[in-house]
Amino acid sequence: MLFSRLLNLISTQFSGQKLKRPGPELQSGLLCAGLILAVLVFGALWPYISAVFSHASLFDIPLAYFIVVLLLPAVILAYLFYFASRQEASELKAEESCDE
Amino acid sequence: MSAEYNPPLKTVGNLAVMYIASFALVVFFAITLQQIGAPVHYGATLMVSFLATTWLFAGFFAGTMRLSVFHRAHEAGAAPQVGQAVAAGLISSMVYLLLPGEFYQSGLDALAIYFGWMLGAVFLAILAAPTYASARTVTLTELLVNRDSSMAMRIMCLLAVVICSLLLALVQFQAIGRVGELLLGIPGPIVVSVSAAVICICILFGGLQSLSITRAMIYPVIAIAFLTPLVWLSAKLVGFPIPQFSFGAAALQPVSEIDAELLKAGFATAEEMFSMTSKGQQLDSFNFVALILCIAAAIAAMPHLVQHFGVLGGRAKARRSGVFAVLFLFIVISAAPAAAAFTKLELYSSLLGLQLFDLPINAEWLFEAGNISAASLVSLCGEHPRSLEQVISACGGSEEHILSVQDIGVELDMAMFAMATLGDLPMIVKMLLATGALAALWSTADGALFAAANTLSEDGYFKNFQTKSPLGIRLFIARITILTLTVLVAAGAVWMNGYGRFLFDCAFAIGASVLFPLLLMKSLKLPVTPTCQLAAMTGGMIVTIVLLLLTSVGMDMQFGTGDEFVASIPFLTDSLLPINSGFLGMMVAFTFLGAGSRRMKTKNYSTVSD
Repeated sequence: MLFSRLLNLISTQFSGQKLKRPGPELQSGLLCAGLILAVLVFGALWPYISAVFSHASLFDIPLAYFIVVLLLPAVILAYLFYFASRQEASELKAEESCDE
Repeated sequence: MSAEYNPPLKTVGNLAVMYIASFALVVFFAITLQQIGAPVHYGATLMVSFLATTWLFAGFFAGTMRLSVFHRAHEAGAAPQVGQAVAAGLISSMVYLLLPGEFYQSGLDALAIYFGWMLGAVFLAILAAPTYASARTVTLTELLVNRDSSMAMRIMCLLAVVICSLLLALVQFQAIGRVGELLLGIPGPIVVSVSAAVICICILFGGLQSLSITRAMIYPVIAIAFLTPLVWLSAKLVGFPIPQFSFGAAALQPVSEIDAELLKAGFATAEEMFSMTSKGQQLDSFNFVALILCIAAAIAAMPHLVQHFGVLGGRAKARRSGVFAVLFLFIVISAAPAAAAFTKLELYSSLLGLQLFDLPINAEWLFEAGNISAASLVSLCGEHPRSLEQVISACGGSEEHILSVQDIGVELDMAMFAMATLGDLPMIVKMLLATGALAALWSTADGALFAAANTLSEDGYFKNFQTKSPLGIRLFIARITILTLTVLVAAGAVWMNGYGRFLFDCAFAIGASVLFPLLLMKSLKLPVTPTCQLAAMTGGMIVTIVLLLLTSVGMDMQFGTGDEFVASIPFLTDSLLPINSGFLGMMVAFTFLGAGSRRMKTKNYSTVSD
């Protein structure tokens, strides 16, 4: 169901019609799906990533640690703050339009 | 609800500031006591007593006779404070005690647990938080089942929530006993009993409100206690006080240099070296991904975490508090690899290369009795050192034996404490670390107990049997259930010592396979037929429990007898980790839910989200 919605979304975009903004549930779902997909890709490449990035280092910390422990969570966290504020704004807008 | 009622939860921001100031005063008194030569346990007793007072204070302060306030705290929570409360719940025994040990033992493999924990907090923020807050339900079970759900579905959901919560509470109580015994020198059963009494009084009087207040106040203490020894060591070793960035130069670099010298001299083989910088030993790609997703799914659906969003009045506020929880968790959990690296460095620099007859001179702390006993935290030649004679005997009988890498071990769940002891940190820092551990354990155990009791009383008693029960009786039943469960879990923790990791695996695997799939469908408002929901829960739970038991204990139901089932999946993995049974259970549940979702679409049912 989620993927059919996702495909529908993409096909709407490619067909040149004006794209309707997805609702908050779909946005949350897409974000989760994106994160899960990223984990699957990351996991599939894990043997190579761990082999390569454990030798290279930044601040003497192996890159594998640097990426997974600090960089990825920091990026996700920054996006989450943006995502939460955007969702809040869209929900407020929806409430206002309902009131009108 | 009268208009003038002002829920105590509204004042939690000011309370937290006053609480931190009081805690600083207590630490100051403990230092003064130490300076004037008072016995070490005076300071430790002072700090633990202050911690207990926090729970008792929150219980009495937020005490209520109104069921709605007991359950939802009048929706008076503020986003940052509830974020702190959720983060305190997230930092359980796994993060505070076990994760540094996992990094110490498994190196890169532990990144799966770390990332799973972070991802779970993210899912909690974007899926569970807004859904739970907007549904205005009292329990997770009430959120997951629909009005038209069958009795079987309700009971299945109730069972999953109660089992998850109780197992988690049991793990926390076992860890409380261990921390009390090893670090405070108090017998385990006494620590567990006192902890159970303190926790029980808190949630018995104030319900979810006191729980939220306590956790919001206690989060800074947990964070400060966990980070202080690491900041101290980091500043001492390289002059830079942020361990997350300095542990490479401060610990990994010196350790790898020592490793290289040992290899060159032929004192150790490459397999015996510190695995933190090398490739993981155990996890293949499938287990790595499954572990991340299983932990993440379980955390997103953990009842004791989700229930906190009930004190927030709206989707946006709940989402924001979830994001704050991710931030607060990140501040603490990101230091876990540094803890492992510092532990290794301190073990190397204090013990490696010493001859046994040197130990009483160069490592006299090994044989010192004290509140934080080093002998319980490290092992030499496989045994905890109690006397020089015993160590010599364990290491082959020669006092000229040189301690090598393979001779030195550390209790994995006590790696942080071993680091503080070996690093010769001041006693006050060690006491702070122990206090923080107790705070982290209590703040997870109380929530898990409350979630289980609330589910049993509301969904078990009220919804299924006495639907016309008056509010006063419902509150009474809720409190009796809390009391009963606390006694049972505390007794279980004293009676059943050990198996903590297995219990943790069970709780997380069941949470991931039974609760998360339904929560996801509910969050995304995807319609599913009631029959398929029941099939998904039942199928997920059966697959998970059967696989978990087979891979952990085997057919004879005993640990470590060698008849454990090795579950291999062609082209994916040769040996499934026990906790990843939850991942397979989750896949089964999603298959049923997917089928139910398609049927729903074909038959053009109305949406099931209420």
